[in-house]
Amino acid sequence: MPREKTALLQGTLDMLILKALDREAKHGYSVARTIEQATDDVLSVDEGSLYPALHRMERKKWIESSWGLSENNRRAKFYEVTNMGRKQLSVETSEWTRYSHAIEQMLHTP
Amino acid sequence: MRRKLARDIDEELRFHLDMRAEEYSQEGRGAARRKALQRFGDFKLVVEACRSAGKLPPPPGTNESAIARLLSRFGVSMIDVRLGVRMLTKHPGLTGAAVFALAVGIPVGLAPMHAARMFEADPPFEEGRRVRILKNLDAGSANWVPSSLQEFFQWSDALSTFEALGVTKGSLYNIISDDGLAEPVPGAVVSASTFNILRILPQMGRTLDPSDELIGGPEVVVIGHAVWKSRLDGDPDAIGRTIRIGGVPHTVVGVMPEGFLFPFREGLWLPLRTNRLDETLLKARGYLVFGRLADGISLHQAQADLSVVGRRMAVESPETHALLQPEVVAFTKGLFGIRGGLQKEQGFYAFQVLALLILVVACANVGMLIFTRTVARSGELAVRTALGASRARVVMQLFVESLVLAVLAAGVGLLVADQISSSRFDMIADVSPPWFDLGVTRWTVAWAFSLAVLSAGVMGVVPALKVTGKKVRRHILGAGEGRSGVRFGALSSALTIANVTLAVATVPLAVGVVDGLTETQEGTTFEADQFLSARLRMPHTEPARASAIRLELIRRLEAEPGIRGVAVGTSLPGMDHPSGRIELDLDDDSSDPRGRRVSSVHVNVGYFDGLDHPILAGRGFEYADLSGDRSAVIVNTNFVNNVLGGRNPLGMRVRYVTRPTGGQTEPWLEIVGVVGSFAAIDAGLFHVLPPEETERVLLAVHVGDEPESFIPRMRALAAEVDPAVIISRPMALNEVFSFAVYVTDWITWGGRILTGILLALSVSGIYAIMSFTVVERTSEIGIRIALGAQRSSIVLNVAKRALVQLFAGIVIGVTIALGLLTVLKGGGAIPTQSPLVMATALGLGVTVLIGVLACTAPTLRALRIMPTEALRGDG
Repeated sequence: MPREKTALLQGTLDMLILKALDREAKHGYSVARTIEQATDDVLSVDEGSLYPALHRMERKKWIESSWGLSENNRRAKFYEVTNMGRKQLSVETSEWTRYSHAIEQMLHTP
Repeated sequence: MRRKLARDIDEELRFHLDMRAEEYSQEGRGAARRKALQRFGDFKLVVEACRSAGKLPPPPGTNESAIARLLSRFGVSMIDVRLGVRMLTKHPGLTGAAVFALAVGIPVGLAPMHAARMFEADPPFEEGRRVRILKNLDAGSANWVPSSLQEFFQWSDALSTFEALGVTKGSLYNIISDDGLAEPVPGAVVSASTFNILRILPQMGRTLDPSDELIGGPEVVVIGHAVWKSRLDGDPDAIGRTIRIGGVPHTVVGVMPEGFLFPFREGLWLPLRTNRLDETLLKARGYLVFGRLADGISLHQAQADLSVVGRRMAVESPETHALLQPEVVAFTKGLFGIRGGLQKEQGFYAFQVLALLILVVACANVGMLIFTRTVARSGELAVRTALGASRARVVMQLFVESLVLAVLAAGVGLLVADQISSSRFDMIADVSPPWFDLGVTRWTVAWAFSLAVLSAGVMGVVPALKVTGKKVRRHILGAGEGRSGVRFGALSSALTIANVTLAVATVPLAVGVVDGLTETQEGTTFEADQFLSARLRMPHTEPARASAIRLELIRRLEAEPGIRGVAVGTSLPGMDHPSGRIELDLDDDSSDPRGRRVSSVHVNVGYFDGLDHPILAGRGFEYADLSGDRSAVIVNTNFVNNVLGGRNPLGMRVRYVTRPTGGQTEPWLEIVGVVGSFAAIDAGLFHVLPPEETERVLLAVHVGDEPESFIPRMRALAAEVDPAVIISRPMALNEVFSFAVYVTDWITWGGRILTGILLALSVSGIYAIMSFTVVERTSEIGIRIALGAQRSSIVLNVAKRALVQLFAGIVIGVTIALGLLTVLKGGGAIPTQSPLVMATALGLGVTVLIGVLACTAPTLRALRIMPTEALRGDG
């Protein structure tokens, strides 16, 4: 039985994309798969949001793109994080950590 | 760029879908694809979302349109445009005045270049630009001369740079209907090559073949669409039918498509048939030679080729071709005989400068009005500056406001000009090719827009720079009190003087120019509406027979009941007259060595009787004058006054001045009589009409009331005498179009209207600027009164400055007017006729009156204000 999927929390998509692209350049599908696999398919990326987000982040110069060949030798658009994107990732990660820690604390309050 | 972006997004998303479908591939290909699509959602929506996510955000609050993007490229924002439009409605008076001034100024400024461009138009044939006219330039007179068939044959044999050459000669042909009535149709004799050169196919049948050119071959004709419709009722079986042209039956072999007219407005074509052994025929001029440039041949190469042939012909036949230089000419220019385009015509640049001057004056005065408005808005501009707007930004805003005004005015001006030109076009439609377009073209619109931008620059940027100057800004920002801080000082004085100069100089100058065009003409009243006029032609008849036919026709017309007289001449009263230069046989003839230009008309013996126009002195023509050397001439009273200076002309000798290269001198002619002058004819010299003249003969029949009712009878009489007689353009003599009268009318009326506009603009400018300077001094006047100054001394003080400006303007204006008039009159003394004196007085009077009014009203208003109020108020 497949696990139940959870929609992404508002405002977290950019952070997840940046994290997915942190190690290596990836195309859009690979970004989506990375997020899904890393969360054991708990988080489901809405593709209708993923691509506009990639284009928006490119415009903001957090990521940059180039055309290359995919693993099955097809032309695909690859994205990689820029320095500005890395800074943004670290800002968003620390904010998220602070935020989730606070929520956790609240929930574990006896 | 945009397409590439869309393609990229599409490819990227399709890659994703394919990968996802592959992920689900164990569910079967179709199902996997469906599932992937389902998960993806609306493909188009995602594409759109990607596109808008990738774009730069528009500035907040604006919905960027294509116009806005275009404007932003020039640093103009839509806000400025909206402000400009708002300004138009906020100050309707100023808008009205400015639009009126520029709506006149911009089209007038454009008119000369527009007219010049019309002659550059390509004819509407396939690759019409490559169809060119070949013409000989007479190096002696610097005019083109019509070609001869001999030249056509020689050029055709020698030139390899043309695909083919063709030749044509327009004429009128009587098509005789079954009831015997003849009606002339413009047609042309053409070489068989013509239709191939023009690359035009017939609608039915065929065009002309070289075999049609054989002398003695069957009589054939190719007809135009209009003739086919009107004469053959659009018969689908028209090919093979016969029509009678000048009494000779011709077989219709082809019908050309609708709209095809060639070379001018000719609508039927007969084959050229020439006996190559007949030297006289070969050398006769009056033909138009044209050709299509061969593929890959440039105009320059064709000209070089033709020049070589021309030089060879000059060596072979020096007596006829020594001074002739053949040229390859653009079709429309060649057709009109305008060498090098209108730009090379004498006076073109004077016309252009005058037209642009009017635009500059319009701009300067509108600029002055805008200036005062801008000054009144100093407060608003100060606020904008205080909020951080740069000087460039404020200047740009004021420029755009002026631009909105100028573009609106240019649009109005073009619309009005288009209406006027299309309504006046009928007048010249007969004498222009169908592709000649007087109306507004894309080119005109582009130029009008450029002029609008230029105008906006003059009237918007200059005042804006002045008002946003550092001194003024400091004043506005620092003190913040009511007065604008703008001191007109020298600028206002200069503008006022310039306007006074213009107002004073314009009127006498305009009157002088118009006066110079029409000279002093005394005209007797001539009841043109009682006469029927028509052109009488017999182009295909032997001269001796033509003379007999003409005499017989005159006899029959005179014998008709109710006909009071018949006159025949190369020109009739109210028409254009050919002119020539003459010299007088006088010991003390100190006039221009090039001779005096006079109209020259050939008339029949009974001409003056036929027109009911008595001989005032001496005698009229007699039949004896037709024999011998035909040296007797009659002059009109304008000739006596303008050329002879009032001397007794009888027995005096005159002769035409030949050009220096011409060789022989012309014979002396003796003045035997004097007639009164007809209105609109200048100095005239009348010769007796040679009987052999068959081409340029006009007929005037004194019918009485409703002369046009006699047209059918006149046609019937002419057909009775000989079917070859062509009666064309019959109309009442007062309806006859005269290009000279038309142009003079236009210049006279146009001149009057423009003078009025210029005067109105100048005086409104004077009023605006003078009253503004006085208004600006209101608080100063208040202080002076508070300090105990006499009211009279204040009035004097204000008046002194105004009077100095008026006086300076008047002196400069009169000097300029006199100087220009002297140049225009060719160095002669300025005539002191009353219209000129009256005009000068009018210009002066109006200017002084407006100047005084402009100072008095605000001064009196200022004096009425209590000093304390003036000091406290905004001034």
